[in-house]
Amino acid sequence: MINTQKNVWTRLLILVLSLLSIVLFPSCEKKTDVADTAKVTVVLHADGISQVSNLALTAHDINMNKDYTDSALVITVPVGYYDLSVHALGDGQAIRAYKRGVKVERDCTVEMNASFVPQGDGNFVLAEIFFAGTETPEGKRYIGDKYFVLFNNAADTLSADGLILLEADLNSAQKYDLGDHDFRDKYFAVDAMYRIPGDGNTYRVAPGQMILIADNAMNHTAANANSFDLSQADFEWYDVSSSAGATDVDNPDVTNLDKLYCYTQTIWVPHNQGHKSFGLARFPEGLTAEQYFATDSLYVKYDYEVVTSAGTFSQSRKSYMIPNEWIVDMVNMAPSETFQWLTSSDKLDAGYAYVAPTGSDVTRFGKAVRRKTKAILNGVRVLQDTNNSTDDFEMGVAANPFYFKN
Amino acid sequence: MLTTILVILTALVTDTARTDLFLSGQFGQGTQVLEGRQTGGFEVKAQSVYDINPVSRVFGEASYTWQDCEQTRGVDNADYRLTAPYWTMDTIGGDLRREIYYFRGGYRMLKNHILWHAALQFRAEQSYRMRDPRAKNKVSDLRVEASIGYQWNRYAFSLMAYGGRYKQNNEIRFYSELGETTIYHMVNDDEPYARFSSNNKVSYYSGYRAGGALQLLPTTGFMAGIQYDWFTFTKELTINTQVPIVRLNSHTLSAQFGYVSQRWRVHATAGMELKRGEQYIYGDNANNYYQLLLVTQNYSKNYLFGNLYGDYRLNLPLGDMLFVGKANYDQFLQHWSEQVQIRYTFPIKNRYSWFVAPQACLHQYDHAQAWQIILATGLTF
Repeated sequence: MINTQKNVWTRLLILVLSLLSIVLFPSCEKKTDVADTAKVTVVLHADGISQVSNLALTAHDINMNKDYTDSALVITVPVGYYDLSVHALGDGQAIRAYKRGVKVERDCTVEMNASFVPQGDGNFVLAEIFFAGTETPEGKRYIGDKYFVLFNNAADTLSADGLILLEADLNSAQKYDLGDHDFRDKYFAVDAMYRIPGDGNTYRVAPGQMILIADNAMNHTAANANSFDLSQADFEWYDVSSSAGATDVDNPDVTNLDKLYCYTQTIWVPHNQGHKSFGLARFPEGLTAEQYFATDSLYVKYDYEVVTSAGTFSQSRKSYMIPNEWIVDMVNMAPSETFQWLTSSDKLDAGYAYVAPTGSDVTRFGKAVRRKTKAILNGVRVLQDTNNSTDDFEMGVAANPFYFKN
Repeated sequence: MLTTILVILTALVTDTARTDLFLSGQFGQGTQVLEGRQTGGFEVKAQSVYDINPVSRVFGEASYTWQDCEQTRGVDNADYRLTAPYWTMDTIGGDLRREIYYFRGGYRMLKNHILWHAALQFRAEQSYRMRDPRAKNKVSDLRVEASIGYQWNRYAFSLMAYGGRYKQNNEIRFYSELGETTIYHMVNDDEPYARFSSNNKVSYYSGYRAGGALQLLPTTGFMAGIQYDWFTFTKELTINTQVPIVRLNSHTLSAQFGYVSQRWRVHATAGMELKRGEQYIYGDNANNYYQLLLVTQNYSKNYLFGNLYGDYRLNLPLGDMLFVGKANYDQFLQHWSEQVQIRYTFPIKNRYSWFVAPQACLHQYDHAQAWQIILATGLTF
């Protein structure tokens, strides 16, 4: 850059401006930090816990997507709308407390209930979710290479037979006011269910081993150099389509999942903007799919309200429900800046995972969410599972369907 | 600003009736990052002052401006100085074209020492980009003004008031099948409204303006003036319904002092702008209906600005030359500029004259400088 040398005009202007400013605006001063602040005091109820230590209070500004932390239960933040969370050790074990949607307009006190962090019940978890698809070298979208990686996070060999892959019926970026009909503490509403076949001992998975479930189990690199070879996937889901314009590809060498239900009559494409949560579930022992679909109480019509500036309108919807106690693992998904609500119970997953700030973000292709590794014990990987996907996952990593392959 | 007011009022008192028709071309480096690396364009303009009779005068002005700014970065808005800091921004930028239509017309009466005028002014602008992100801004800026004054000997004392309505529609589209980049709606100099960043690509600035000025104007002699200007706008996002996210109040006070003679004129202006901004804080939303929780002040800054102006008219055996020098300072943009213009007017036939007016501008910033050349030519009669 060229040095800025002031010429005669400029020097004269400085002189005149300075004189006039002194006369006209004697208190001219630049101010920048003007945001009002308020003090939030947290009252933490930790029943059955005698000693709390290593405390960290985090206030997440929902509007500005900023976090403020303090090591005490008092924090000063700009006025706004916050999610509060407390991470601490209670009697030596990890405890958490969450409070969503706290309006901070002036100094206030907030009561929160702490509970022990689940340490994982030794079961299958969703280890990597790749829903965005890839971009071809020609700059086109490619969507047939989506996949899910399931992982045996238990200390024992488990059977994957009967595990059901679920997609949420509700959208994390479009909130409904369910009011008194809020079922999320009991059920998870689904729009797709695909089950791993087997007689109970067909597909056994050792601790630290993974299962790869692909949309199309084929070598995608032949058509798209930016994609993956998924021809060695363990399973694929295959849909018989009612539309000749949208048909599925079946690899006869790879086992198909049992299709229990899908909202579409064509082919299931997991929500490619990451607005839908995914879960794993099992039917209770002895319950068949036919019995499930014959259970009226699990196909529920519920009312909700749509609030607009023109008024509030009642609407209704009907979804298949999976009781929460059948859920093996849950991963809420939502773009980080368009998240509106958790579509599952916060006891199943208190957070959410994402690959991009927005659903239509052009950089989301080729990215996945991947569960963090908690430890490697005797050569066996153990993944983090605290039922909070925001903590448990790495966001927007380069997708690798074989990352967890030993 | 006050310089504009001076031009308006001077036209009421000192200028002689005449008409200018001219075409000007502009080329040079972008005057700052927001305006791109290089800019060029042209303007076609007609302006006229016509005396109906010794007491009545009408005046009018119309212009069309086309400008192409290459590689603008960051800000997608038109009128970025006016809407700062509440801009719509992206991380890609690109070439931005501007088309400005400007009209102004008014009437002045001077009778029994009483001087008054009324005028209407309208600017329509569209700026757009033809590659993703395809920003498209449409601006309408209407102003109505009136003044009343008293003329005594060679001085006129005027009190002027005005009001206006400002609108800017800002829309960004992406044609790429792959998706979009994040659009940021700024709520501070370096901070976007994170909750509404992303795919909220349509925004609307709804503004109002009002102000007044006191001015002492000479035909020859000392001049002085003071002006207050208030401008406010609310920025709303279109998300099913209109969701206001910020509101800005801008108060500008400026003063001017100078001297006018038959052959030359100098004046200096200094002022300060106080920008005060508020952010709308929202709670939960359902179906994109956001619950407004509170409005909090989030922005407060003061800026100084000023300028010096001088001109000198030299009569030649054939025609005349006008030498103009200007210097400006704007603390907000950290911007200094100096302009030099020479206008040579050459009589053609009867009352018709041809003029040519080259102008050079040097813009200086803390770490950069840029030059621009403007060449204007036309007829005056």
